[in-house]
Amino acid sequence: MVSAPCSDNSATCAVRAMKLTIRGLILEAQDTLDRFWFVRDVNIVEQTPATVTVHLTIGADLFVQAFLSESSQRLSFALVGQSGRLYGRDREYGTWHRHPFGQPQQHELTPEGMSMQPLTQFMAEVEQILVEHDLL
Amino acid sequence: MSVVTTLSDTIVQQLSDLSFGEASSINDKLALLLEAEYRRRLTRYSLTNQQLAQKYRMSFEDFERQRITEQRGYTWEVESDAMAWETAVDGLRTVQRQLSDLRG
Repeated sequence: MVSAPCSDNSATCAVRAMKLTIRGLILEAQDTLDRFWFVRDVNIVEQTPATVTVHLTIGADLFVQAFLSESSQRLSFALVGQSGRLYGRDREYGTWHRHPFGQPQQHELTPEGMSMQPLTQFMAEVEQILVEHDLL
Repeated sequence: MSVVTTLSDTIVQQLSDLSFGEASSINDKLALLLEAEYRRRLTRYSLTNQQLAQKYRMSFEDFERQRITEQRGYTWEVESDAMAWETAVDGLRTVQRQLSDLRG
């Protein structure tokens, strides 16, 4: 199943088509240190001219991984624990999907995409998960 | 073209003490250190590229063209491989260019 292509100027289309830059993602990641009380540290673990992988440390075995490729616009956010991905959102081939908490091996298409500050939105969702499931 | 830069006494001393075969100037030694770092990265990226090409029996370009992550249900494993592979392919391209620039 593939979401319908965007051909208008609606907000949904703008969000779905948004182009992130490595610099923008790094700045947003650094900003999470002030915005989210549970983020202990932010590290760029790998960077090339077109890609970046950032880890936002939450606990000893708990972190958020953010990945962006400027060339393919692959964008991936994952809350990662000892068993692997616990929750995630990804944009691949121009289409967004979500891996729900509790069933991270599943994926559901999310044609609404994410906000213009997707990492901030993801961290807000992570905060809710951490609190609701007492993960800290 | 040359630029003037400042190095700490400790770095200058350590570079001077470091033996590098025929390289005697600090500039030559720094060039060798850079080349060693580029080669280390080249090896790491090449290894990732080879391992994933072997695992999926295709190139990264085909992996993307065939939307393998979608075909395999966007599992954590295949999505992690996609990210590592894309990083390695871009890294390889970059390091090869850097090595070529360094050699002039």
